[in-house]
Amino acid sequence: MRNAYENSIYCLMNTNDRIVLLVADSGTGKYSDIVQQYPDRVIDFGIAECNMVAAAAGFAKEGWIPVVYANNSFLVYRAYEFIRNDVCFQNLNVKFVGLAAGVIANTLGPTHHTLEDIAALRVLPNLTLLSPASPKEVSVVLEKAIEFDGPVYIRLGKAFEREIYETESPFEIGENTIISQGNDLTIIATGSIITDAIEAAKDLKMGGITSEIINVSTLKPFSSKEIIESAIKTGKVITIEEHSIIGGLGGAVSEVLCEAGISVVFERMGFKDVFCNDYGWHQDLKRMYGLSPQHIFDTCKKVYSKRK
Amino acid sequence: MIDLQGKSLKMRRKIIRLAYLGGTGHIASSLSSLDIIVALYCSKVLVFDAKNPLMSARDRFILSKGHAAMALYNVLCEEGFFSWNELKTFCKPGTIFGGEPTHIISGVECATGALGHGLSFGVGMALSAKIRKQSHLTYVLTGDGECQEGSIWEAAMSIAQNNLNNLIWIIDRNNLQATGRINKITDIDPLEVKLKSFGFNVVIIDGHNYDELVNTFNDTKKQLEKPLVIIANTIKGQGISLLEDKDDNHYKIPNLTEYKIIVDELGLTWEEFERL
Repeated sequence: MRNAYENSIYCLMNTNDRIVLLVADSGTGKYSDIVQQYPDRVIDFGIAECNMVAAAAGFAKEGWIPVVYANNSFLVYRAYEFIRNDVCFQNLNVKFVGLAAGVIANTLGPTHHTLEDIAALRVLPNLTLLSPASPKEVSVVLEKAIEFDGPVYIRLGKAFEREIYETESPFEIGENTIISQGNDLTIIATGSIITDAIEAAKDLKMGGITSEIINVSTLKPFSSKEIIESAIKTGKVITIEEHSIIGGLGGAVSEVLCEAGISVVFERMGFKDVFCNDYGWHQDLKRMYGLSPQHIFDTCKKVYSKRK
Repeated sequence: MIDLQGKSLKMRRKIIRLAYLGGTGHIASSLSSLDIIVALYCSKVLVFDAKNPLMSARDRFILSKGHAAMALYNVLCEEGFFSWNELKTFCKPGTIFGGEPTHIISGVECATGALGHGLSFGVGMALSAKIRKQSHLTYVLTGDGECQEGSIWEAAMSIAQNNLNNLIWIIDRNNLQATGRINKITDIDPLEVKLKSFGFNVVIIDGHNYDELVNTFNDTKKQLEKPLVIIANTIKGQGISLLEDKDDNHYKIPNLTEYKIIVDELGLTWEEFERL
């Protein structure tokens, strides 16, 4: 996803001269090409996220489209008050791109993992919250975020995410994408973990269980239409996210279903109110915390076998 | 010659009137900053147009110590950004004039109140002007207690790194913070030495002396070599004996007896004060 983002921002800065790229010692890969190409429009603020976010607000006030790029954990947790007061409250046109959502920081451990950002940001008025599922979706998400007038946070993964779209992602802000149709289960996922859900769904299908998989790449404003329709059809809903089960996708789906008065068998998969205090590669960590394709398969079977 | 002292006295009275009408407000902090803001706006150091508050050639002014809102409101009102009748709704239900200023008020560049934000916001504005080769200046007024915030020093580093000689940082140096004397809580001294070591030129002036204020501000209009900090020595609660330099004046709202003493000290009868 990082490569997809860097390639996209490089192209977008060429076509849109209102974009400035603000980083906090966080530029790698294609970053040097971007600096070389647009030396006036890239500013490295160093390891000082709070100052960077408020400065981004100042840029936006002057009519720029600042793209703020840093690791999710340092950006959201360190600079939260600045995101809230300087950007969201004043509804300024800043785009946050947070790198390494979930546990893709791998062996760097709990200080670098980001498992609470959706919960922390979902409550902020004016903020649009996007979570692309695959590299191809990253480029569309970034393009639409730049077109959109207002604060946006993009929850990026990092590397080795698998692709789920053959051609372009049909992503639109505020709309969910149905990845596969099914009648027995509704699987709702956000971010790259959807590929694990797709893998599990293939195995389920071999056993005769068909799953409707919904990719929620806009976490806010949260679209309920497809979710409610699918939940009514299957009566069995599983949410999957590389995030705490509190306050994230699972929380948003339960709010929607409760308010609509729909009773379903329901299971939230995610980090169960714990820090990820283990070390390993991305797939290892997900497995250690009950989020491997096998875990998803088992949970789906369990939910499927429960009576509504 | 504009009578800045006269304007200042008029606005001191109005600050007290607002606090009285609204039943709230940071009186002492507003009195500390008032002369600085009056000197910037009323002596026409700042380029602005009250009828076109977002004019691109305007100088930007950010009140980072947002709790001095009553000083800024009164100066903006005096300069025609809005009327006194509108401002008199201060802190009442339905008003846009709260205890801390927000961006929806004409002439207010950004919402402040949480400390340690405005200087960084100004960094973004000043960087923008540099990229676009615009000649306007960005002035940011912070408190001295506010310099305890870590983000202030993040901003200071980026001002020096980017040689933002188009950003003028003014520190309202009244030596007090909300709950007492700064040097008894967490000292920021030696402030001048710290600022110089961060790469600033530092000028120290009397923040209530209009000759010094206006001359220093006029000098900022010349092309500056290095980023500049103006430390304006002030008295928190200036002009009102009951409040001046008192450790507990930050949240102080006078009672009726005290209001009468203050109004008298400001040269008004109570009847005149009621008619304001």
